[in-house]
Amino acid sequence: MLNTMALIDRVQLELGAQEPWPKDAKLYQPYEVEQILLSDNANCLAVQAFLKMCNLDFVVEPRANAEAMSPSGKVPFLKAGAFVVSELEGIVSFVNNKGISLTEKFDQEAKSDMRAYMSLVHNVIEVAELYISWVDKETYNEVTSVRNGSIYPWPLNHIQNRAKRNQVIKKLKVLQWYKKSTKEVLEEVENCCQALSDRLEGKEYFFGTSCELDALLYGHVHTVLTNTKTVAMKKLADVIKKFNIITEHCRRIDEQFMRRSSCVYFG
Amino acid sequence: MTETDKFQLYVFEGDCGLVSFDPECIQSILLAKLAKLPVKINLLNSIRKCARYTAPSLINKKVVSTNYSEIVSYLRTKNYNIDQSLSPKQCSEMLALTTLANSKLRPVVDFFFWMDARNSEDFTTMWYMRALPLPFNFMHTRREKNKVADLMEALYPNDTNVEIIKNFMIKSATQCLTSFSSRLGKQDYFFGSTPTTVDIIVYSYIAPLIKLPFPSSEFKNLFNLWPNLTMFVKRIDAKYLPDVSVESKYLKKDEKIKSVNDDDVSYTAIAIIILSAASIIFGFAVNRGFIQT
Repeated sequence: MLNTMALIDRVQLELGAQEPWPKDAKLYQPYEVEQILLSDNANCLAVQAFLKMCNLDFVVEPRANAEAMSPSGKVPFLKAGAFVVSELEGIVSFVNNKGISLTEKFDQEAKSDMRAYMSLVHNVIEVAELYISWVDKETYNEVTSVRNGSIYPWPLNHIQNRAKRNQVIKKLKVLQWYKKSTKEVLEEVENCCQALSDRLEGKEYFFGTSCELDALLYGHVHTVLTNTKTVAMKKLADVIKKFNIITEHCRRIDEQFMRRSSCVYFG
Repeated sequence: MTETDKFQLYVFEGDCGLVSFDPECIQSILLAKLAKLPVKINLLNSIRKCARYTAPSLINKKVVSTNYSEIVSYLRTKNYNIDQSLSPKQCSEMLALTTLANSKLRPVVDFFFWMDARNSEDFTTMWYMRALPLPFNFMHTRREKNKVADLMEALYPNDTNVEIIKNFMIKSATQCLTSFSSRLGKQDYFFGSTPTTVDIIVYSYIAPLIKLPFPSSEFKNLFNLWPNLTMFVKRIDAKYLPDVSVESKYLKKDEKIKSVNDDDVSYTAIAIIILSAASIIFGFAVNRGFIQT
């Protein structure tokens, strides 16, 4: 099983390039209204924004067990023709192999900067979202456990919640985030936003034209700003709202690519 | 020199041209040198020191900072800051690059130290066994191994096969090092002519991979792709860490040769085989009367 996965990975690189973009590309993700969690929502939105930036057609296909269907165990994943690719990085390189790239005009330095900023968003904002969803008690009880357990019948939902929580906490421990307080987590996010806003200053997009970093940041910012049910979630949104440059950037992508009204979080 | 007594830095010993064996210790030492901190560097090589301190730890007026980020923020409060001259945009880039190094290179280094079976058993574990005093060598190696196993589990929850993880590692490391190499370009350091925090972090992760004589050498050959990174390590060595001996202290040369030659067949064995084969053929020929005596 594992070996076949590695093999598929390689086959995708070699064969995927030859076929044009299929008409029936489907993006599988959890149910947005009832089920999806903060960080998953952000990643799904980032991939959607990226595909729209590339002008590629796709249909969003909500599935309760999307996470279990995904080859890497993480949502979202894309089914294009005979190929299944998961997560933003995988999908970006899959699309690049088809000759469609948002970054082909970038020089090497810009590309490495982009990679660095993407890892910054992944390692700070995404981890902060995980922390708020699974470690903060109020958010866990009122939002995360209800949503994560919503697809399972009664005793199983508690078991699944607990298993998933242990898994996330283990990850946070390894990353040395578990022992941080909510205040420290918010400080980290603020530093990260400061860095992003300093880099973005005076420009529409990070590197002139839109690229996957813009999509990734949009996904996270939009998700955080539109989910403010509990105190901790609200605090996280307030931290990001301090940076006008970042919310403007998010609004710009919303209007230009996602074509939806974004007055929700500026009201 | 009362100042000198105030700052005490406890680190693991270095070897093979490295100032310390542990990336985080390298970072602390290099930071102390770059910030011109009046510090006394102590090696953790006796039971008393190992029992009292973990590596790296910086002690100043009873304040103990026990990891690199704590050390950095503590030294900032004492006005030892090496990133003062950077503009906000450069600071922002620095944060991004450090995150990239910590999230992509750190797991690779940890993996090659502790998870790769040959490296871990023949090199890293053996080195720590000799460098640290008795109960602590077992404790430390075990703790590190568990830590790295947890890290791998968190990063690749679906894969348990070490070989597959190794492939992922090499792939992500190549990508990440290419980024760093092109970001560094022809400059001396990442932000011009003076080193900053990024340089410390990147040095601490790539120097062990370049210098240590690991038994499995997938990585060493990779660095031929990026000559500027090798030069970068040499530059920092020459300027800031000039007095580090290249000789390996705990694992002697002859042992290494022995382990390297494990797969080779010795010449004595070949001679014996040839001799016995020749005598059998000769005996057969005599017996059948091909050779008349």
